[in-house]
Amino acid sequence: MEAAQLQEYDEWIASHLDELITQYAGKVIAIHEGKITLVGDSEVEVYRVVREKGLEPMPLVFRVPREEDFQSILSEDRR
Amino acid sequence: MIIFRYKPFRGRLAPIITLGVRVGTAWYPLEVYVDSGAVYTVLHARIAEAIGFDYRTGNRTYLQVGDGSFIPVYLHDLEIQVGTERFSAQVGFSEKLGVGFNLLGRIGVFDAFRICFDESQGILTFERRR
Repeated sequence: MEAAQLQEYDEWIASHLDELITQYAGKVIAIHEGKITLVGDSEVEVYRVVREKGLEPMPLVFRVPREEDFQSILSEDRR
Repeated sequence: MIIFRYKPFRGRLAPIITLGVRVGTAWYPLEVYVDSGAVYTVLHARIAEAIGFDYRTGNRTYLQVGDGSFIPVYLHDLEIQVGTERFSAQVGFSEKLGVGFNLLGRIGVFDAFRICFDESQGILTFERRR
């Protein structure tokens, strides 16, 4: 896939992660052409709509982490 | 050299990057947490289910996780794209991944790249080993 597309998604997440956690924690979102185009409860649901709409390039489908997801992975005691 | 910004959240920083994974003929952009403590790259099985990939056909192995328990992981050789670089790595899928993120682990990745976690600069760099 286009490296520029990956970079665009990466920069978008870097710029919006905090507000995503505030608004969509635990939800699955699709980011396409610089904005959130779909919000759902599962990857199955969101990818199904992506296919139905024939979105190109492939959107970034992302389950927005909850704050506790960061706490679990950033814990110092991961053994 | 491929450079990523750490992702800021609640005043902290996390080494999360966007990469591409090819499944069949399609490329999927995904977010992964770069985890030098993880042996394998492991994706949530719900992603495979959502894109119609029968991940259970892979070689099953068990990985130990933070609480000491073992989780089943199904391994596949998949193509990954980081920035402009493409390479193959064993990628696992698991229904039991106990963290909210997909993990980018060492096998096939940390041996293909020199990866620098520069937290003071807030950047993560990937340099392809030649």
